[in-house]
Amino acid sequence: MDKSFSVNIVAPERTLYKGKVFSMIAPAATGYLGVLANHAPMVTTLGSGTITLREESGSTKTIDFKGKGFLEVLNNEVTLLLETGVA
Amino acid sequence: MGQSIRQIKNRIKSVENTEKVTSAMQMVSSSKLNRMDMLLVAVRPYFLKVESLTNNLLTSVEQIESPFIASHQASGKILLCLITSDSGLCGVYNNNIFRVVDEFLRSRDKSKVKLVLVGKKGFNYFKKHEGVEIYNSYIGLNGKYSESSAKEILKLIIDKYLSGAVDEVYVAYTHFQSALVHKPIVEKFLNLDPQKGKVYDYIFDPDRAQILDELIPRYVWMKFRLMLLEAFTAEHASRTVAMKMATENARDMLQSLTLLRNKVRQAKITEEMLDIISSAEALKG
Repeated sequence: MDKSFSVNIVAPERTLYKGKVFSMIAPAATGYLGVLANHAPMVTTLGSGTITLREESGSTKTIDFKGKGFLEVLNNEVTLLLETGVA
Repeated sequence: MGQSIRQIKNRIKSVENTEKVTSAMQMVSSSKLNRMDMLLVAVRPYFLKVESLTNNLLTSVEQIESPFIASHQASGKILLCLITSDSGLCGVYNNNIFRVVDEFLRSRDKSKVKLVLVGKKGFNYFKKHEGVEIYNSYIGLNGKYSESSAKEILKLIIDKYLSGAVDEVYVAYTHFQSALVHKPIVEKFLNLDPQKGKVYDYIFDPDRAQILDELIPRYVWMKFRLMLLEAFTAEHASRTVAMKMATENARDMLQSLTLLRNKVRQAKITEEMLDIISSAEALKG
């Protein structure tokens, strides 16, 4: 059984996603980055691209965005701070 | 009866007009309040995330080289940014913030405080004040948040701070807790003072200097933006409440004036009838 972790994607004007996922792939500044549960604490910048989330229900969700942002992984909680809205 | 019917009627008319104006202003402010409140509610969670990330990083990373954090030599020069409203009729909103600012100024050396004023009321208040220098004032925002003007104000503050003209920056604004509770505060803005917290061993990608270089200005901007939004939301809320009370007072007054008018009219009729009856009696006699 896969372990899940919580993901929070927020833009300045609203929350884009909040929920539990098994895995996440995000466009980090230096290339796509996959995150699974129990990832070590990490901070990175984000570039434009597509965020792919494999949700607990088994479905896959994708969010496109343009611009910059930050990603923080801490204690099985992933926070994505987007600077601009969704593309 | 002290007043003639005509005088009372004039007063009723003027109170009616006032009531129309205040109730219109109430509606305008409450719609502005709704809009700002929605924006504020949306921005707050984002800011809290940025703040917690910044705080985590600042406590976890040793020896951060950022001009926003390094404390300058304590020469005590302070920049105080005061956010007030442009127009009046908003109850005690401005007076509350002035009271807090006056208290703050008393505890500091006034000659070392420089002001950046947002809002006409703050400008009017301090232009007569002796011994406090005003760097710049921004008038005409009218409680309407705009990205470009917020950036312009912040740029001035940061320029003064980075050039070393001032050592610390404080912002005096009104914190919007709910539609009825607003708290005027003077908050330290720069330099950033990381609160001691848990230390995490972060992996940085690309590297920590680059991330901090991007994150810290972002944090500073988000924080300033939030303070402006808080203040403007509080302004609209105060005005809504003040206008609501004014409208209610006007309605009460209208009611008692109407009653008075009716009494005076009735008294006059009675008087005339008495006159007629007594003269009729006299003729009969």
